[in-house]
Amino acid sequence: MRRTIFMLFAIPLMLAGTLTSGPASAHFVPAPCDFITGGGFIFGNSGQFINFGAHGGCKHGQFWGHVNVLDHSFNPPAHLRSTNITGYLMDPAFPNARDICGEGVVDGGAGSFTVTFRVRMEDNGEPGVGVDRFGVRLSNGYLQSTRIISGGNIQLHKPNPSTTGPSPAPTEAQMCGGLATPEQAF
Amino acid sequence: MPSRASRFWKVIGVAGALAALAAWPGIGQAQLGLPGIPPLPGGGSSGTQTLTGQASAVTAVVLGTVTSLADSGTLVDAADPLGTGQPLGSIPGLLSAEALHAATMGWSDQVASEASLGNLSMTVAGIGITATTIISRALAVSGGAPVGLSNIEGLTIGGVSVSPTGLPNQAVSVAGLNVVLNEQVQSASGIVVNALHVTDPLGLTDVVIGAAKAGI
Repeated sequence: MRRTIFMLFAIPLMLAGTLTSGPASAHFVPAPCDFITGGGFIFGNSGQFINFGAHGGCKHGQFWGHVNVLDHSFNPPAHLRSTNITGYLMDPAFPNARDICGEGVVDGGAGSFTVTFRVRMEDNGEPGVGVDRFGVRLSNGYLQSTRIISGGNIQLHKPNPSTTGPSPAPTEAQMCGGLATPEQAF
Repeated sequence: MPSRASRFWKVIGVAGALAALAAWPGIGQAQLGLPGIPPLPGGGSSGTQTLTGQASAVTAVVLGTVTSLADSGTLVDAADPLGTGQPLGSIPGLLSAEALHAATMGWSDQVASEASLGNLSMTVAGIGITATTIISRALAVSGGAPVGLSNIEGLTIGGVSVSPTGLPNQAVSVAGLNVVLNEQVQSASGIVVNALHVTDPLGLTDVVIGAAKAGI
């Protein structure tokens, strides 16, 4: 039953052309590393509420953070909870954005299973509503491409003495398990 | 408002101290930690920068029992940012919420704290309170005025939509409930921001949603 629910969750998105991996691009750990924090909601692909609360960055030679995302298109809502942060990246094309990659657990109406995830958070000023952006991609094909938040706020913070990442910095593929940024819909 | 906030922290302090003493009778006084977000210390003049930071998505005192959800813990070092999160949170009989998150971080010259949650559903003294998103932020910069910020969206109290003005310490009274939106308590060393602070008329329930503290 759980597998069936999982397949119902994943297959339509796969058929819609949302692949779990994309071409490697020039995304890298910012140097010096910094932090991004935020919470709020976006409207998902079918107009549903997707709530998120997340923070990420570098701390003492490692990646650091927590990511929680809830999708109300499932009943009960499906929720992603990070269990390990494996990457923190910036994209030169979106200097105000940071991607947080990691491993997590999905529970709720989509079933219960582990995934690799990649979220994008972008701070484009105040107030966050209407300007900041959020997106999420999971290794099972789930994708909410990065879009303007409809509630909440995202804040990009400057580095501090602790914000050192792993040395040498891992590659994007190593950090994100081959998951493309949710910026693109491929 | 300061008097209400002061009373709230006193309640938290007393309850926390009693709980700590009951649970760990051998604990030394220097190790006593108060639950929730204690008030900022007074402005020091020692010449050294003391960082103070903490954030929690929910801190509730019900009949003297303190419960916190997604509490970052207390910032003690600029080189040790703190954060936590949970997908779902609830206090039975009081509230439920989603995507709770709290973080606090420091620099040599400033401290920033943030707490947020979504889809809040709460009942205090029989009055329902809902909100789509709540987020609070506190920023203290050395030599500058501290800054507090709250975003509350989709707020209803007793089924009636309430529009936050964005101004600090917006008081709302509905059916006897005392509600403060964007509560800000400033001291010489920083600021505590409580996005939504609800107390019942009998003082049995005292709930802060989205608390962020920053001081330097």
